[in-house]
Amino acid sequence: MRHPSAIAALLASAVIGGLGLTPGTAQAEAGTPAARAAWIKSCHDKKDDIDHPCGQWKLIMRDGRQVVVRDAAGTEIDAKDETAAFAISADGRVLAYQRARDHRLVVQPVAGGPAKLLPKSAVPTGAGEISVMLSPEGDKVMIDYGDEPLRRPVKVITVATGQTTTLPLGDSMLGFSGDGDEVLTSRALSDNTTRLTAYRLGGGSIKRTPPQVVNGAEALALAPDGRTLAAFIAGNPDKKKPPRVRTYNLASGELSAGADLPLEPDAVTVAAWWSPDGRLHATVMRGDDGKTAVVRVLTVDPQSGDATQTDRYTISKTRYEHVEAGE
Amino acid sequence: MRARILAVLVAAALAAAPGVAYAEPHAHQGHDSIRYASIKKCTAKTQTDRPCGGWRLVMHSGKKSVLPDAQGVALDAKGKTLPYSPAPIAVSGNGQRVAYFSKTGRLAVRTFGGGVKLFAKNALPRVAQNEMTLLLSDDGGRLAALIGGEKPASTRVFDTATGARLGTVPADRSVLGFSFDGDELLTSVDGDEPVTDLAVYTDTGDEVVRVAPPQVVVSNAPQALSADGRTVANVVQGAKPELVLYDLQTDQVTARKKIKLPDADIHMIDWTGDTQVTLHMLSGDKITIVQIDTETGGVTVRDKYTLLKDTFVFAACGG
Repeated sequence: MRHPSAIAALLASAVIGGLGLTPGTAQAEAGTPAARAAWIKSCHDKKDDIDHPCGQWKLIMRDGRQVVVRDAAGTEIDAKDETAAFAISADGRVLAYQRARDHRLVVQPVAGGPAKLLPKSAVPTGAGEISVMLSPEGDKVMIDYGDEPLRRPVKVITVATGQTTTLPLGDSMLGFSGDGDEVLTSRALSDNTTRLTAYRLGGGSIKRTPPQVVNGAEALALAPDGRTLAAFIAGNPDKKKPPRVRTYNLASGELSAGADLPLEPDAVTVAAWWSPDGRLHATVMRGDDGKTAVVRVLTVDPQSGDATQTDRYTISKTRYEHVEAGE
Repeated sequence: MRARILAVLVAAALAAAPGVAYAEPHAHQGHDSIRYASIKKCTAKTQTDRPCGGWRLVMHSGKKSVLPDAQGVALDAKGKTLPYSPAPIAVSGNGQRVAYFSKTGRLAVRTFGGGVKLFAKNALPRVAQNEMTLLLSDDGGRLAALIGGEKPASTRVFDTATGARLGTVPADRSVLGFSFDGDELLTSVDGDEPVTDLAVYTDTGDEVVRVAPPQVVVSNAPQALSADGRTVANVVQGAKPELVLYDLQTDQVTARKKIKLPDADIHMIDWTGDTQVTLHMLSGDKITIVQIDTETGGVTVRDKYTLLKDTFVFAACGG
């Protein structure tokens, strides 16, 4: 927290009239507050000899400021070693987090303005550790409850209306499509394979058991067409092979030959998404635990693997956990 | 000398149990064969179980014998005992041959009703015996010696009749087994991308095909290669068991057949005919051997037995 005054400024600059989002704009324009990532510090418990998250979630802003999200819970209820859920939309303008005092889910524009409190049922009592994702423009939130302690189906909630879509029990969330009209899930089948499904939130779905290389991808992103997947495949430092990108069509099963990305073999793709205009983006990171993480945001040609860097920032070596925009 | 003793023991065993009916131990065998090899478990004062004594062979007839010339407890590269590891052994699918290390450290293949083929002293590099795995083809005509440990070396493939080395398979290929006819080896290998490839090698060490198969093939080990050198069989276990056939040349799953299996884990899978796959299934110390008709999906139980109670580790015949 380098500029304590920034928090007050951020949260006080309330904009009346909804979320203040501009449809069709992937990147925040200069001057519009946007978050690159959020992180929470690591502390060491000498008695139990464990590292645990401590303090509160901090935003890394596109202008370089760091801002504490005071209203957001750092850790789960009764579990100080588990971070509470936190998400940033791919455009960096919307946050989702669990409210500090009761762990209810809140969706909050980064620019300020009214926070939207999601229904109590979005975080059932005893839900334990949950995961949330936001659509690329932050207008929808997806919640995955995991299998324990409560086994509940994944929910997708439209923030403005509260309209909720409940996905089949047993599906795990992977992300939104580029235009937010579909969601991608995975499901473990009894034959020890993993099947992917793209659900149209308006109804209908496409299911397919993908090849190994798609199933093993580090990050998958569903295009605005609701059927084309970009698969970011981890590099292989031992063989000095860089990460790769392939496309996979869930409707036809067609897999592209793939292309190397201009990255070091140990660069990890932490988030991938398509913007509504059909461009593919990826956030890649280097830096082991305990070292400063260097994060780069790329626009990627899914066929050639050509990449343009659109942003670069670092995350403190004292991090316990971090969440990138679009993750 | 020792070979003769064993031959006498086996002959005696056969003579002592004439006319006892067994449920087709091996359809193509008219005489006794090895069910499995077992090494005894001893418990030291430290409470850690260890292998002790020599390798014992248990026959389909129920008779037991000891392989007197076989190394039981593994030796390291300098010949020192590794007290917690058994030396490797392999039994051919037809139960007629057994491969092991002799007490003089030589690779040996013994044929029932025949003699022992001792391999050349330099047939294998000097490495600890517990870092090696031996595999025999169904008829025992081919032997693969896998060298693992910290410095894996290429797998060596031998003709067991002559002891001649036919070829090698690169060290990073995990050899899963021979094709039914012994002419090829099925291997798995990590791809450049995070996938598992299956690759087939001839017994002379030439790569025939390499492909990243679908999830259902690699996620349901073990896999076995047909005599055609291209069809892989594997089984999905669980509530809805299935036999999966996959063609490595066309990269297509050619059949998924629902099958009924005993409630046990699959220990081994082997092709035992052009349209037959045999499973060794293990539940506790009980082995059930089933044959699957790859055309109909029909399953028949070929054999059932309980391992010797004092078994530290065992090696069943493959077929």
